[in-house]
Amino acid sequence: MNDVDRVIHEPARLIIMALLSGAKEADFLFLMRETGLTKGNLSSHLAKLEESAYVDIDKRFRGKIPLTLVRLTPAGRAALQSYRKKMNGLLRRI
Amino acid sequence: MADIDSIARRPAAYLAETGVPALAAGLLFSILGGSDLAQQFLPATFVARESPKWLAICCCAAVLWGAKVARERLVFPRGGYVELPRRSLSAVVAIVMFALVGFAGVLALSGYHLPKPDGKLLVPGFAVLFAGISLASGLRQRSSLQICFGVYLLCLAPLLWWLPVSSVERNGALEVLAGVPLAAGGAIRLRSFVRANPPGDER
Repeated sequence: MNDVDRVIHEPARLIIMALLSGAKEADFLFLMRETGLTKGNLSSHLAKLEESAYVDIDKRFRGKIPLTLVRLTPAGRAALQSYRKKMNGLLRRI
Repeated sequence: MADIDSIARRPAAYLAETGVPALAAGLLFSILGGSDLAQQFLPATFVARESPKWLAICCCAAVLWGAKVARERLVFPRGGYVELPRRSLSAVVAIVMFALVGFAGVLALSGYHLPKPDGKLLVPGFAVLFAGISLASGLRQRSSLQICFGVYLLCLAPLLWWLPVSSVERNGALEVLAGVPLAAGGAIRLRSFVRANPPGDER
């Protein structure tokens, strides 16, 4: 259990990673709507995922509206796959 | 543990829930079917035969452009922007497609003409095929709308077989009768999506 990736193991971050695994990229509003997290909560989880180089965040403006695009990095995709394998293995052993 | 697979399917499901794909597909079917039917009823002059085709092509292009605008102006500011990954063709599908195209090319070069399929059975057959796809997809995604649409197409198949019209008219009738309810369903979904989601101030 010690070798489970703690960054992904947190439920909110796992949902964010899973959502991004089914998309090329998504914006902040989509992630907020789908996860049910508040702006502050989502921002802090995204910052942690960016710190671990699991997501790539691109902040820009569309007109006067701020637009935050988030996409999974290859490292993030690999980490999610590895997390799934480990958790499936653990669940099979129980 | 969260069901990662079902969460990963959410971006695609979200885009379908907005109603834009159904609305666009329904309008495209209706336009193509309407064009087929119009050609049958117009006088047999060159202009009357060709103009519905070109009008349909222009309308289809306008529908595709309209769907893009609707997503950018109505859907994304309300529910958020998401882009799906491009799926590459699997090796098996690519080989099968290549073999089919090659086979068709050899047949065309050899001057062999395939026997024309019976339109009276072919069009209802397509209706049953689409019904099967809609039912399977509806049962997998637990979508009552898709299941209802599949049942509707199944009911349409015997009606299309019974209609005393030519193959082209039967094909046009299938496209219009399938396209209109699809477009109406998509428009209703889009309307309820727009009403339920006010635009956000940050994306």
